[in-house]
Amino acid sequence: MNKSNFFRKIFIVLSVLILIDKGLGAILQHYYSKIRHGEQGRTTYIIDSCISETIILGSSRAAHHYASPVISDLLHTTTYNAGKDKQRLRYSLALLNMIYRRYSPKQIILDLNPTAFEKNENGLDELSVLLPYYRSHPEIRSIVNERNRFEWIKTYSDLYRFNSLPLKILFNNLSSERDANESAGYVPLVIHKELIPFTPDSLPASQPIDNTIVDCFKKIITLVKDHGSRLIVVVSPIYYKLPENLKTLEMAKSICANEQISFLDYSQLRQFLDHGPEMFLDKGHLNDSSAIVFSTLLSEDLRKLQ
Amino acid sequence: MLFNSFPFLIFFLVVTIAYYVIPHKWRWLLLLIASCYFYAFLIPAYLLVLFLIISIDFAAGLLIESNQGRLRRFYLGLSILSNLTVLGIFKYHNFFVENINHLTGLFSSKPVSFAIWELALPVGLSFHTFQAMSYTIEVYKGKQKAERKFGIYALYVMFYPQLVAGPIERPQHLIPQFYQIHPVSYNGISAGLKWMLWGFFMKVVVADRLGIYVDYIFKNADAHSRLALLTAVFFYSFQIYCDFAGYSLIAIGTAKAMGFTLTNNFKRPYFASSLRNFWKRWNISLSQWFRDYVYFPMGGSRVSVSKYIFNILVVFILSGLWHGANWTFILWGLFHGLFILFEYLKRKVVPRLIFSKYIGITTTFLSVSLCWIFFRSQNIHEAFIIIKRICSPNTIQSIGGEFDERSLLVYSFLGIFSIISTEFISEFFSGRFQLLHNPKEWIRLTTCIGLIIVILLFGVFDGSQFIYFQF
Repeated sequence: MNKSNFFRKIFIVLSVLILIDKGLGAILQHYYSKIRHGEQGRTTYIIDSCISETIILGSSRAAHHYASPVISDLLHTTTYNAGKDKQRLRYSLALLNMIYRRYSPKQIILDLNPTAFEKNENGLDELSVLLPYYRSHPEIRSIVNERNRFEWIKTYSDLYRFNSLPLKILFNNLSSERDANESAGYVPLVIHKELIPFTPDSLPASQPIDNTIVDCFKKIITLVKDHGSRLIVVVSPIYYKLPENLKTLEMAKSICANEQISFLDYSQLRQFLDHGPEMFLDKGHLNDSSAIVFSTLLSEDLRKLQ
Repeated sequence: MLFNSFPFLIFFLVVTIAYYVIPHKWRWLLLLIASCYFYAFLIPAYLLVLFLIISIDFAAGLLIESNQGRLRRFYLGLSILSNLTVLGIFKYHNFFVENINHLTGLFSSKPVSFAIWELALPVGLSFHTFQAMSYTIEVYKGKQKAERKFGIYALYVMFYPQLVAGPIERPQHLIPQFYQIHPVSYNGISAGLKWMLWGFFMKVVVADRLGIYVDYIFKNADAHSRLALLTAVFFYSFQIYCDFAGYSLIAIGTAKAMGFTLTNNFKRPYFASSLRNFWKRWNISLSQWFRDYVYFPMGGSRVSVSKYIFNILVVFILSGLWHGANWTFILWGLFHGLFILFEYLKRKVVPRLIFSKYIGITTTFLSVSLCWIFFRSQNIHEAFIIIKRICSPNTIQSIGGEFDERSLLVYSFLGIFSIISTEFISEFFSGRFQLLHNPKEWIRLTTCIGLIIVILLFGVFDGSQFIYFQF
């Protein structure tokens, strides 16, 4: 092979790659935005369509603990649960940025994981769920770019932004599942099999505090304040025995007190722990019926706060 | 630096272009600096450990060559002892100390408690110490002249494509290549890029995808069903193969792009019809190292049956220990040894049957997969829990269990299917139906484009390490 033949082949491969990347990327983008259910449907709905007055943010504990229809009924407001499995505060900040681009909800409930400020072994990989929104929402780019130094280069590829998603896009477009808006984002954890009994262990050994996550928490407070919404930070029940001086909770309490933000800690509420594991699906998550009890309790407390 | 990272792509491009741009006499220096940079990306301080090994073995090579008789043996022994001491300090100290502490605790009311050292294992230490040892042994045997240039010898140990996970090269194969002039060969570059592409596919599309499910199941093995555990073991067999073979292909491709030829480390191991055959196809360079430097000097197979059994077990237990300082690896090696001995006895008793090759492929794969359970488990207890659960029937028969990423399972099976089908074609239809090396240009180019698209769409880009880096 001579030099010109080699570079001709490189040119052909690159040209065809760019064409396919843009073409297939556009198709994937089109069908992704049409998804109306499942995790992707919920995320797209909250970013593009939701106009609820109260928004619930957080991880899986938010998604499964806050029965938004119950909260809506009791507070006479509209509520959407935007909690998402495996996500942490960076995701909440990104989501909030995208929501505020469109409208300002009256109230934000942020579910705080008792170890939220600790270093996470999964690092920032979880933020890949935001890649499909990277192009259309410039306000999240700086957050997604934190994944690694070269993320901004990788996102030039449209296919990369839909990495691991083609089958989900296909199945969700073919599926006849209910609409993302039907349960106002709440994802109940229904017990469908015999549970392996578990006991209230202590939390696994704590990790060092990640100051970038603490900054993220502070940014959420600033953002919510700047847009005139009310922020309530909530720690929902957990079946682990929490030490009294858990760093995340101590720091969060102190930050909230300084910023005059309501901080409600239900993590060790006897009402949930005294029943043994029957109110929980696992050590970190309430089951559906307990989530309704918790949502009722929270709504009553929120009403008192108002 | 990890092969499956963006910085590596830039590094590869810069080094390869620079390699062809600068005059031949400076190329070794460029490669040495690049290799240091490549290694320093991981833990810079361990460059000192590497240079210690290099300095000792370089001096030992010269001393072995310039002396006669007992002194030659003395210097060889000193070199081997130095390498094994470095390995012992970083890799085996804590293992032995923990076991001694445990044993004294069993037999004494006042147990001895030796201190555990908090030392991180230098990446790929077992690979480059073995490569360094092969140099002094070959010089001792008179098959390799002692290298006079320290820089060239350092490059032999540190050559970045094979620095952290092999292939373990013999000096007579690699060192002369540093002296050869490699003109720009577009065929070579093209071939290298294709090897790299297939290696990336094996690593990021297949191995890392399988790893997500395997990690999930192995993390809490006693909570999963028999089917889920069987699937995880099956996946792990392919994860470790694609991870290691993927690394080797990227290494071979990277070197090829600069005109170097490295040893092919894998030859479709899961199509081996016996365990003996498996070890001629899996991590070939390590198998040959143990064969030439341990097994043959012990007498190999030309000894009495009892000595043969002893030789096989010693070699495989050492091979297990080479992989890691844990009883799981020792048992992994021991079981491989026992399976080989079983095959040896079977050959003497049972006549060859029809379809014996296909039966052999199946039983070999099953035996190897069973051994992988020990290799993957954190401890022996965990390994036996997995085996016990696989053997005992239970009610929940779901592959996924609580695993909610069903699409990942589909990708995983598709990945395995692509590997099996490609290797099946290579194994049984050699030379035909090839895609990356097809005589028709448009098929080659389409395959390259297809692979890049698949990598972009289905690759796992979490920067996960190669499994063999820990060895």
